[in-house]
Amino acid sequence: MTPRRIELLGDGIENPGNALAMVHAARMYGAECRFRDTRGLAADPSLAGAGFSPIADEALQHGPARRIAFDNLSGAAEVYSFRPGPESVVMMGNERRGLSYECRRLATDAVQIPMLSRRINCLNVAAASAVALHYLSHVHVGPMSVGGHPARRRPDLLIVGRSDHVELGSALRSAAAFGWERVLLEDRGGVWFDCDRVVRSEGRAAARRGRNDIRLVRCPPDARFDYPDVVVVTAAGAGPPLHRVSLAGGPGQLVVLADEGAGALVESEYARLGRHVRVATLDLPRAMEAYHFRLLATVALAEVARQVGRRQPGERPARPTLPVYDRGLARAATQAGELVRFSDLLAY
Amino acid sequence: MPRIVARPARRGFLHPATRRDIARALALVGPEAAYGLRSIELVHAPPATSDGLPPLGRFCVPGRILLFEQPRPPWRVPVSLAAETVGILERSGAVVVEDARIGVTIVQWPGDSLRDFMIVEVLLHEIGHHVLQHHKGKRIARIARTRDHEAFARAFAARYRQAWLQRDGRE
Repeated sequence: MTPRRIELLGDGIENPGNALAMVHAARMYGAECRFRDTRGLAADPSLAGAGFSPIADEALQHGPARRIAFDNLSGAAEVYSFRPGPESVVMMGNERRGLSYECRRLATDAVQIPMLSRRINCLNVAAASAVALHYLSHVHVGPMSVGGHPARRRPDLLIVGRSDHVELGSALRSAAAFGWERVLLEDRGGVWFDCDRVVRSEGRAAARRGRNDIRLVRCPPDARFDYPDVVVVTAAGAGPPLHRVSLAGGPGQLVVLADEGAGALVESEYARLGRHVRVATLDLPRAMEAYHFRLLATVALAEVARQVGRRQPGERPARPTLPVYDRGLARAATQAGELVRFSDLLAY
Repeated sequence: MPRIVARPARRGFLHPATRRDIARALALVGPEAAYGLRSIELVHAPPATSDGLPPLGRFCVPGRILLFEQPRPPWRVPVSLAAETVGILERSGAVVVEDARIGVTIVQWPGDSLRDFMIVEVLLHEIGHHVLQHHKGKRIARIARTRDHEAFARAFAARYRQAWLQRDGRE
């Protein structure tokens, strides 16, 4: 089998943090990352020595034959089952404006990540790059599952935030975009709930909290749960690859994404979450040069979303149950109340 | 004005309030309260609750009120009724007698008291639910906690109770 050669192209990326994360994502998958630098990124000091590599428009035209516009364009194929060919370049657009007209004109294919949220319709550009590289160059999987009642297949999600508020916020944005309405959040590093105003604002901005109505359930670090099945996702380890693990177990299953930037995962620590704890890895081809939780979390969430699937196109969601107010007679309580002393309650 | 739909009661049951009574009750509360009501239906009773208590009425969002047929008096209820319920029944003119030995409560309805009970404590109560629900505009969503919804409906019925009972100069 001919090895695939894939390049990542950032078109008009304006945030140096995103550009740096894209470079790291590309290296994680053994790809080259270049930038069509229309925003003056090359002059940014934070990218000095980081392998920032600009590309001119002319060189782009003479690049690989398959030029993939990675954007939610009309008619775009879904990323999961797309086969890019032996040589291709994946073009990622500007954070706010998407791909430029020039890149769209050059594109031979259009690919997108299916979004399941009505309010968050895109991912962080670096996180989307990681998802693109993961599915286009690394794993071979089928298309997104399609069928009724995907909510019944969606597992609960526990995110353990430990080191970086922006990475955590971006992961929460991805969770909302992939259709989660509720996330359990263990804020061990104090980067989300108990933090100063600046950290708080930056984290919420990364999560797009203005539009992101995902419900965060705060969990203490020693919280105990009784999920029948718990899948802990790690960047590397001895477990099976994530795409070979069943992740559509519904509310009886818990998927755990832990920020391992502050240290490696201690597997035994998660025994408190459920009866059967398994570890699954992202099976990355190379070690991460710099840890970005948002990249790993988004790839894992994309895989869960692929397995959970979506409704048939055109299928309408179930109608909500309408409220009903009954009027009737009430019977007397069958048993008298029991007096309980406060000291008894304390001793209980 | 909402449609008033009457389905004849089964043998052993009756509809205490007629179409005419319902129309008079609607005239009493005025068009503002009745606005948005789609129908008021006199229907067969659903199966009794596990307690054996007869269901009285139901408000289905949006704008549909069901008034269930009732057993012909006297009612024999196979449980002891809550004190609050007994108070409501007696305030409506019922005579409530509880036989604690066999655990049965007998409810007598002299005169037109059962009709007044169905109008005030059931129909006006359900119209109260409708008023609150319709006023919020979110007609198919639960717009208040059930406890608050019930409190508003009770207050609404209490507000028009005297007006209904005095409409013929009876009180």
